[in-house]
Amino acid sequence: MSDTAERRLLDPEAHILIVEDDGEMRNLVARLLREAAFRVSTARDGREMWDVLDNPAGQPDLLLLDVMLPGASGLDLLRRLRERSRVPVLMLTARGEEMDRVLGLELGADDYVAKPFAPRELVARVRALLRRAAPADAQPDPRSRRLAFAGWVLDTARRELTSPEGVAVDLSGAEYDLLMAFLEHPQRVLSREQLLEVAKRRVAADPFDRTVDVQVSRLRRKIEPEADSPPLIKTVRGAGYVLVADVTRG
Amino acid sequence: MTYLWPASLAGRITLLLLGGLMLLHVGSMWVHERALRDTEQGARLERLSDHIAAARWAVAALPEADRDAAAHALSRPGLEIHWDRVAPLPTEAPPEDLIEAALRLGAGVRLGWDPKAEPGHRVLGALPAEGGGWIVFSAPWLAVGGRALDHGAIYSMVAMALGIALVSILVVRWITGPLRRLAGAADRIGRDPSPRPVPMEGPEEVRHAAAAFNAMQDRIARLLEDRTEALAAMSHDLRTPLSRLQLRVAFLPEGEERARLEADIAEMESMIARTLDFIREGRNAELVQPADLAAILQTLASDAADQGHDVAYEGPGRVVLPLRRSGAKRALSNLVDNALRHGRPPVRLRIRDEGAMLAVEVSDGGPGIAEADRVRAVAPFVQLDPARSGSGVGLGLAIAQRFAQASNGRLELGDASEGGLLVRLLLPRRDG
Repeated sequence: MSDTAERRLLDPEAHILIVEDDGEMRNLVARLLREAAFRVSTARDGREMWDVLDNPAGQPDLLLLDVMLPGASGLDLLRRLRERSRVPVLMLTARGEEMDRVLGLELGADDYVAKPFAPRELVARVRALLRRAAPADAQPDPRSRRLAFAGWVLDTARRELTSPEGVAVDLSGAEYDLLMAFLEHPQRVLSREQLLEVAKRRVAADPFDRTVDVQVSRLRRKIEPEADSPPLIKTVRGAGYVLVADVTRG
Repeated sequence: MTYLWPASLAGRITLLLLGGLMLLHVGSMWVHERALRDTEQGARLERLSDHIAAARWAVAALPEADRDAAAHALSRPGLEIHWDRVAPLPTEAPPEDLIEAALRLGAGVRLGWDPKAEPGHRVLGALPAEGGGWIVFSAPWLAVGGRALDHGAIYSMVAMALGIALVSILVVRWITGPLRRLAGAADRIGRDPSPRPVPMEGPEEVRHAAAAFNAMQDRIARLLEDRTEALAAMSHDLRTPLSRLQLRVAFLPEGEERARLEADIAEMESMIARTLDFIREGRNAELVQPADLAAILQTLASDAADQGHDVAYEGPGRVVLPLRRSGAKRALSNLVDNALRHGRPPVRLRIRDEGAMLAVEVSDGGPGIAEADRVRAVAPFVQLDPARSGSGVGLGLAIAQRFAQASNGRLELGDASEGGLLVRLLLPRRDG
C-alpha cells in the first residue's frame, strides 16, 4: 500500500486537533482521520481548543478549524493562535462564503476545505499540509505569502497569480500545485515522478499517461502565453522540468 | 397661474373641454356675425341701386330745370341724389372693393372717393341719366353683398376646429404623460430586477398612483429579498447534514451502492452550490480588476477535459479585460456545465472581438433550444426538459445572465454551427 509507505515518511503518528461545534460532524471527521491512521483530538469550541494547546504533552501537528463556531468564531481563534504558534491550520469554511476563505487565508490559515467536501479530498489536503509543514520551519519569514519570479507574483494567501502587467491569471488547482512545487524549488530539475506526486492530488492520474506533461504544458501556456514570451519553465530531456527564474519572497 | 390650473386630472380635462368649446363657440359666433353683416350690406347696395335707377327714369320726362329737384326728392337717409349736366371728376382713386360694389349699380358709372369728406359724402358717384345729364349721388360707403356663409367662413371654421383638436390632443397627451410613464414602469416589474421609483409628478390622481406604485415596488423587492434570504438560509443549512452524509458514506464498503450514493450526494452538492452562486451573484462586492479571460477559459476547459469530457478552448492565449474574476469564472463554469448537462459534446469555448464588447461563446453539439423557449430558458429555476428535472435546479443560464447584467454586458442564446446551442456572454472591454 502506497498509503502506508507515505505515512511512514511523515511523523510516526501525526496528531490532528479538530475544532468543530457540531458533535456528529466532529465524530465523523475524527473517525475519518483515525481510519487514515492519524492521532486525533477534538474540541467543541475555543475554550476546549486552548485546553489542548496548553497541554505540552499533546501539541497537535495540524489544526482542523471550523469557521462557524459558537462564541469566538474560527477566524478569531485563528488570529489569536497565530500570535503564539505556526502550527498548520486547515480551515473548514462553508461553501459560498468567499470572505471567510480570503480572511482565513490572510489571517494565516494554510489551506481551506469548503463544506460539503469529499472525504478523500480532506484526507489528501491534510497529508499535503503535513508534508509541506516539515520544511516550512526552515522558511526565512513564515508570514511571507507573496512569491515573485520574473515579474510575476503568486499570492499564496489568495491563491492569485498576477502577471508583470498586473493582470490576474487564473490557474486550475493542479496548475497552482505544480507552480508551487516549481517555486519552492527554483532552478532545480524536478522529475516527472516528483511532479506526478503533486499532480496526483487533483487529477485521477494514470502513471502511464502523460499527465505531468499535459499539466506542465497548460501551466506554460498561461505564464508564457505568446510565442515570444520569455521561457520560464524549461524541459530537461530525460530528467524533467526546471523553473529558470529566480524566486523572491516578500 | 397655479391657482387657475386645476390639480386633478378631471379638473384639467374639464378645463380643456370648457376652453375648447368656448373657443369654438366664440369663433362660430364671429363667423355668423360677419355673414349677417355681409348680407345686410348686400341688401343695402341693392336698395341703393333701385333708388338710383328710379331717379334715372324719373328725370327722363322732365325739363332740365325740374330735373335736380325731382332727383333730390328721391334722396333718403344715407343717400343723397342730384341731377347735374356734367359728372364730377373723381378726386382720388377709390379702393378696390368700392369699385367692385359700384359696378353693380349700372353701366357707365363713375366713382369718386374722398376719405376726408363728411361721413355721408365720402363716396361720390355718377350714372348717365335717361334723356341726358348725370344722376349724381353720395353715400357713406358701398359694399358688395355677402354670399351667405362664403367659402372663407367655412375654411376658417374648419381651421379653427382642427386647431382646437390639435391643441387638445397635445394637452391631453401632456396631461396623461405621467400616467403612461407609470404604465411603463408597471410593465417593467418582474423583468428588471432592480426597483426603479416612478417620479411623483402630473395630476393628483397620477401622483397618488405613483406613490402607491412605488410602495408596491418596495414591497415586491422586499418579498423577493425574503425569498432569496429563505433560499440562502435553507441552502446554508443543508450543507451541514450533507457533509455528514458524505462522511458517513465514506465508511461504507466500496461498491456500486456506495458509488451511487456518492453520485447522488455530489448532485445535491452541485444543486446547493448553484443556488448559492445564483444568490451571491446578485449581491457581490468583488472588485473589478484586469484579468486574463483566456486563462479562465483554459482552466475551465482543462478541468472538464480532465474529467473525460470533450471540452476545448479555441482562441488567443491572452485576452485581458476588466473583470470580477470569481464572478466571471462562476458564470462561465455554469455555462460549460450547462452545455455538458443539457447539450452534447463537443463543447467549444471561443472568444470573439465585437468592437466595444468581447463575446465569449460556448457551443455544444446537442439539440439546442427552440427560439420560443429561449427567454424562459434563462429565467431562474426553470427546467426546459421536464424529463431531466432531476439534474440541477435550472440556474446555470440565470447565473450567467445575472453576471452579464451586473457587468454591463448581456447574455444571448443562438444556434451553434455545430448544430446545438450557442450561448454568448458579451462583456464590455472597458469598465463602466
